[in-house]
Amino acid sequence: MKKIYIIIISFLFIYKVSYCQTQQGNFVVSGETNINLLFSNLDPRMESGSDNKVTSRDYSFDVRLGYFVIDHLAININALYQYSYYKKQLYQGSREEDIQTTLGLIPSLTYFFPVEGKLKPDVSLGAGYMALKERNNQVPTPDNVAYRYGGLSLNAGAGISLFLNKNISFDLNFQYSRNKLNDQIGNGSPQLQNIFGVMAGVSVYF
Amino acid sequence: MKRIMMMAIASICFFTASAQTEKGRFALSGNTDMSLMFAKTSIAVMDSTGDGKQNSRAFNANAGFAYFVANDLAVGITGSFQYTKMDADNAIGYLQNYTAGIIPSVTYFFPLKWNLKSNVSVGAGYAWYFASDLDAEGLSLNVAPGISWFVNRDISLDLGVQYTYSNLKTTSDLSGLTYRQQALGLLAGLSIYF
Repeated sequence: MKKIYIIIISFLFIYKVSYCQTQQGNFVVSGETNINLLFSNLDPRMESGSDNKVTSRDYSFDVRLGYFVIDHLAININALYQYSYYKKQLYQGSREEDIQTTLGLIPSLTYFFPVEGKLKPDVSLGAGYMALKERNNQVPTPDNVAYRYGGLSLNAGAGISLFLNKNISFDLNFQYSRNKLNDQIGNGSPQLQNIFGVMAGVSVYF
Repeated sequence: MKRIMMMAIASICFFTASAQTEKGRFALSGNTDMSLMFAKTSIAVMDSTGDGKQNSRAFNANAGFAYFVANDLAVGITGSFQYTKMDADNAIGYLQNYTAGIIPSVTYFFPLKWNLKSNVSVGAGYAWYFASDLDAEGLSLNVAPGISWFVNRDISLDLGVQYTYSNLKTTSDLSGLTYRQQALGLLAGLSIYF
């Protein structure tokens, strides 16, 4: 009798642990969620003593957050902003300055298949907006804009998660992205991107 | 009796708060990831040159891993590898570069109140940078004080400042060119413990 109780209790415990990560009301955050500010100074030195310093600033903000609206179905938001600036001394009195910015806002849905055990397969679909821009003072265009693209990004993915415990999973995902980015500075030439990726990472649930 | 229960609960809470960084546990940076990307870009050019096409391949791996050799003291290793190859029908042409770094480090956590722990990390390692026009490699040193808020036994949210000094020497020619890089970063992210 005691054995049966232990089995039932352990079953309930294991079931609860393996089930509760993706239940309604929980949040999931990708381990890659981060905010970084980086200031760098690169000093190349020749043995002759001449030098050409490069100073740079990089800011990045990457948030990947999901909320389980019902059991196993999460609504996610992936927000990305990257700013990258460098200043390089070219020759006497002349310098190059360059700024690149990337912006992405991609809502998505992820469904976890409720299978038993610690492994759960999932599928994701997302659609959002992406924008890329570069300014360089060596480019002879109005406002020194080298390019400015913006447009729709469509994403589909499938993957599998290994739940280490109720808070952590290791993830392996296959993702396909199709982006159609329109040139916004004149000739209107669109840029079509087809991207296939295999990604591994961690996620946390709370 | 109630007091004893409260003390017992409090001691459990203390145990939970101190258990994240106890000897024998592992810590993994949330930034640990690996990705392999294949991209094909078509750019419709409105001039006589016709369509421009660009194929690229990128492999990226980052790992931050540590083991607590004593309570609150972790020995870790941070490794990163990035490879990019691009072949374009435009002025960019062919481009290939990779960067790699491997930095062993030691981190000590100072327990504070409310599941907060300040920490300081010191590391020294080696970095490589290879591009179409430059090959350089050399020593990289870093020091990083920070603070972690332990949401529970398995997860912490981290905020830190990192100073890195790298001294890279060219390997492709005899120019004797050295690159000294100083970088200061303010970093926020998360870590997991198991």
